[in-house]
Amino acid sequence: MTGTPDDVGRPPTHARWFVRIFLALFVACSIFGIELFPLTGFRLFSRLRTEHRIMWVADTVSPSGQETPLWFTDLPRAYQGFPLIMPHFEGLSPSWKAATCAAWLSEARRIRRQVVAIRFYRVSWRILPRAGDRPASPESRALKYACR
Amino acid sequence: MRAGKALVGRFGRVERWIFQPGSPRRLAAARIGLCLLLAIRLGRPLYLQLAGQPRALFRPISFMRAFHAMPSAGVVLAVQVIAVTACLLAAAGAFARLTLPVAWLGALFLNGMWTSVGQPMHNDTLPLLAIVPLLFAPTADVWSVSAAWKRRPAPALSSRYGWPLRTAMIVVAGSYFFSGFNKLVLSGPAWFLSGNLRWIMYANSDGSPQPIKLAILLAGHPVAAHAVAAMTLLVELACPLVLWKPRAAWFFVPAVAMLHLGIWLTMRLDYSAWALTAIILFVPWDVVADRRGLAALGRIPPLRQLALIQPRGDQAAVGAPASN
Repeated sequence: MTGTPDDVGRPPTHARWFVRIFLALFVACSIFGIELFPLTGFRLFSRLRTEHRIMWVADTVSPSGQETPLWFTDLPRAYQGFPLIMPHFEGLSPSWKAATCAAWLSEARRIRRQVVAIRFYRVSWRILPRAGDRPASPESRALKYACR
Repeated sequence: MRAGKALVGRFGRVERWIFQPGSPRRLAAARIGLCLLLAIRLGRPLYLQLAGQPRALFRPISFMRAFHAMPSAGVVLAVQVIAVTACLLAAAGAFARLTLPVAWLGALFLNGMWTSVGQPMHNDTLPLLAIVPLLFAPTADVWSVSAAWKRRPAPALSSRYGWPLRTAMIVVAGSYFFSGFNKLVLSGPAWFLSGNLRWIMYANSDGSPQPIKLAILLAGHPVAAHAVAAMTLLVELACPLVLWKPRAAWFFVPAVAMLHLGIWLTMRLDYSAWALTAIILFVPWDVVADRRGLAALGRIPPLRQLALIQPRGDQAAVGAPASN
C-alpha cells in the first residue's frame, strides 16, 4: 500500500522540459499534419468522401488474353500497398514504374502460374445505385499501365 | 500582454496538474499493460511478411528514409526476438530502465517498416506514443521482480510517479481529440451531416474481395450512418474531458472500445491497440487491485471509490473517496 506524498514540491527541471518538448511536438504534428513517425498528423478518414469514387484495380492476363481481377489481399503483406501507391504511380520515373509493375507481376505469378501480364486500370464509378452488395456498374475504366 | 499572462497561467495550471504526486503502482500497471500489449503486437507475423519486400514497393517515411529498402528477414527476426523479450522483461519489471527503451526502439523500428508501405499506418501509434513518457521514469519500483528481489518497502506517492502517467494520458486523450479536430478542420460539419460515412463504408466494402455485410447494412440506412458519424466525432472531440472529469471515463473508455470494435466490424481495420491503450491508462489498476484484495477479505469499498482516474494526487490510491 502506498503512503503519503514524499515530494509535493517542484519536480526535476529535466523532467519538466522533457514533458514540455514532447507535448509541444505532439501538438505541433497533430495540428500541422506533420508525419514524424511515431508522431503523426492524425489524419484518420478526415477528408470528405463523395458518392463518386476513383479506384485503382489490377487485372492479370492469361495466355488466352482473358483478364481476371487481382485482389492484393491474396498476396503477401509486402505487396498489398497497391491502393496506396497507385495514386502517385503516374509521377514515377519509367524505370521505377517498370520495377514496381514487375514486382507485382512476379508475385501474382505465384498464385496464378499462367499469368503473362498485369494491367492497371483507373476505375471511376458512383457508389449508388447498387446491384446487390456491389455498385451497379463502373462509369469509366481507363487502362493506365501494363507490363509483361 | 494580459492574454499572454493568461496563457502562461493556463500552461502553469496544466503543468501543476501533470506534476502532482502519483501512485507508483498505477505507473507500474501502465508499464505492465503497455509492455504486454507491445509484446503481443510485435509477436505478429506481419513484420516478417514485410521483410525482403522488393525495393520498388518501399515507401519510407520519417526515420525509415535512412533505409533504402525493407530490411531482410534475418534482421527483422532478430529485432523481433530482442524486442519481444525486452517487452516481457520490462513487463516483469526486470532491468526496466534498460529493457523498456530497448522494447520501444524495437517497436519503433518494426512499426516503421509497417508504415513504409505507402501511407502512415496509425494502428500501433498510440501505445508507441504512450510509452514515451515511461521510458525514463521509475516504473519498476513496485509490482516488479526487481522490487521483490530487493524487498524494498512500497514507496510513497511522488511526482516522479505522477508525471509519466499523466503525460501518457494527455497523449491518448489528445490523439482522439486531434483525430476529431482534423475531421472538422478538413471537412467541416459535412463530415457527419453529409453521406461521408456511408461512402467510406460502401467504398471499403467494394474494395474487399468479399462484401462487408455490416458496412453495407449501416451505409444503407442514412439516419443510422449520420448518428454513428456524429457520435464518433463527439467521442473524439470530447475525449480530453476524462483528464479533468474522471467520472467521464466511465463513458469514454467503453465508448472508444465500441468505436474501434465498430471500425473493425465495418472496415476490417484493426485499431485494437488504441482501445487497449486507453483501457490500460484510464482504468485505475491500483484501486482495482485494492478492491479485489479487500473483496477477498470480505471488505468491499463503495463503488464510488473506483473513479476511473484520480487527477488530484491519486486520492483513491490512498483510500480517500474520489472527489469527482
